[in-house]
Amino acid sequence: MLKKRDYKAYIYLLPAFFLMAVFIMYPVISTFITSFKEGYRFLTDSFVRFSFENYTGILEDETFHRALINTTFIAFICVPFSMLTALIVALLLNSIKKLKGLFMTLFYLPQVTNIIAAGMVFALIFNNNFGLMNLFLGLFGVDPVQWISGVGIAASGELYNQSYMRCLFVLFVYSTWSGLSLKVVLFLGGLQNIRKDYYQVARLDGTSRWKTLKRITLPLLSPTTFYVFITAVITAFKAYSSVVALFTSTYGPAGDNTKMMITIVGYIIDSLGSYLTAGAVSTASAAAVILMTIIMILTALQFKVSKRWVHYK
Amino acid sequence: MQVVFENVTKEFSSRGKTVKAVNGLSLSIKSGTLFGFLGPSGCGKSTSLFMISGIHDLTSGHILFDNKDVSNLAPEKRGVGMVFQNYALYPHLSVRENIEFPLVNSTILSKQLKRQAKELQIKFMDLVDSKVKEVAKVVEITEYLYRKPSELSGGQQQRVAIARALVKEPSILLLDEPLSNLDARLRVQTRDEIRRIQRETGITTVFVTHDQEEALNICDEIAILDNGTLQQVGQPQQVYDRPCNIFVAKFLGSFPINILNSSVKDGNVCIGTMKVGRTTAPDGGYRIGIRPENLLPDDDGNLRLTLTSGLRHGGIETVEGTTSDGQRVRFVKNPSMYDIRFGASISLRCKKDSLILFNDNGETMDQC
Repeated sequence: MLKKRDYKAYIYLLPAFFLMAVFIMYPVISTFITSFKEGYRFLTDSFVRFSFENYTGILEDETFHRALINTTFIAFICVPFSMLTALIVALLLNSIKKLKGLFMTLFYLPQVTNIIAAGMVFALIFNNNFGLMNLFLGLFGVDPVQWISGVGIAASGELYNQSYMRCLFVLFVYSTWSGLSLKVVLFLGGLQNIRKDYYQVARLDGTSRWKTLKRITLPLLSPTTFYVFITAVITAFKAYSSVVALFTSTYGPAGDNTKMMITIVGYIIDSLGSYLTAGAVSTASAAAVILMTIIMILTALQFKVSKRWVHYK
Repeated sequence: MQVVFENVTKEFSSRGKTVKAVNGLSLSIKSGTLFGFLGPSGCGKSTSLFMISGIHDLTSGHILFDNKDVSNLAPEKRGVGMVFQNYALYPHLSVRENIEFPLVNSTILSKQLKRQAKELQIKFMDLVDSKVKEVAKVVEITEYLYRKPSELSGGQQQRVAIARALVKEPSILLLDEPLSNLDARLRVQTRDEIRRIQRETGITTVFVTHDQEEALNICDEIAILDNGTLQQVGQPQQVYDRPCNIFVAKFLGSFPINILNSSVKDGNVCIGTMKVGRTTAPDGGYRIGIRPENLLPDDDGNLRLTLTSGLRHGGIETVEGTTSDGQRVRFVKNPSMYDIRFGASISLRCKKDSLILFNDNGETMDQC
């Protein structure tokens, strides 16, 4: 039986629980059920029958394949690179005394910048005609690169692939930059949590800087690294606004109609957008369930693997 | 190895303010002895230790190891082992890995050992292993080698930290407040342990503490610092018995020394009207110090007190009384004495040579 003071605790939890139930639990369950409804019509709440059709449809859809590849690219290419960069920046910031505050502010700025605005700035930087990137490359005599351009790609598979690579590069630079700030701050916090006397001992022992980093700093930083990695991968799988900011809501350079740079969330939102069409909302639901499953499996995997390399005190 | 401080000064500056942590320190630490830096918080004792290790550089002056100036030598080249206040054991490594850390990871040391292993025709790691085992035996932690530091008690962690410092076979062992994180019983135990390890290895050991009892107990010599300035250096008993000033006199002693106002007239030391001793000091007002254990009950004694209160310290009892001019005096009650009635009078005499006269600057003028 519940004791009297337990009742009190549950009463206090009730408002939060109610909100969670309405806005999180119900939608999750509802999405899960909807994802199995074949030919679901949103306006009439009618469907043909329960089946796996939405899932098989998605898995055969080339646009979804693109979304999966692009999202994976952000999560497993951009995130590790961004983490490595953030770690190096944090290590450097941690070792300087003068101007530390200034640099920390500069590195944190992306975090307080609107992601769409920043994305549009990047789109301008990589503008084919008057972008800073081409201006910079021009200094070295490089001809302007058509960074975000889909001219003629419908006709030629080779041109399409070249255009895709360039767009991936732009996305790579942008994701690395925009994800850097929070990671730097987290790493810096983790580094400052490592006690000074560990380094003093290592110094007295004549441990080289590289070995100190490898055998002391990195292991002691591992809980932070793990946290950053998990949150960054989850964030990456939810990527949407970055591609819209860079490539507009057509998810691709002008002239592309294949949604070249779409992400999984982009795919879900696009499906939802045509909610009047039979099966669109249920397709979106199925895609959302797939996304959730991927994130859950990855997180579980990370926790399992982490036992081998994360050292909690 | 002998360690000599020559007029060493260390200044720290932050936000434009400069603080002298150590001011013109000159002293010599004899080879193979256990030496203690003693003083209140912020007196510069840890700073002195960190300067020996090389972690702090000197603002001015010199530090010599066996007559060789090491003031500008990098820490790793000084061959010192250090135990930090919080032990600084790497939490992610086992006890064994912690101890072998300097052997495996030190650029200089690992090279030396690899050469040595080649000469002996054994594997490098076997040599490391034998060294780890040897030192683990000395500090008696052999059975914990495969545990993580977090699975050890404070005293065990302390011994692991000492083992890690010793495994390098340093010429000097530095201990920064090694006992401050231990509970009272363990402190006494570990204190004796440090003494034993020092004797067994014969290594020059420098030890920092704010606990006077610790220092008096195990050190061959102690230096007392206050505000970055050396007050006195010498053998513990000698410093205790013959303090050079009132600060040292007050700082040492389990029972605080009595400090009384007195005057000297014609060679007689007087508290109020009571003549408690003879001195050669010129006439005038003095403060005198007398340790509670140096006051003995004696019916012919010149120091008369009205007893006011008593205090038990386990097996020992101290009693407080007031003189006729209202000064409070504490003395150690002799176990053979009868129970004391408060309000009664008692006559005491001072043990010979135990009355210390301080002038206005607090310096010792005479002892009688």
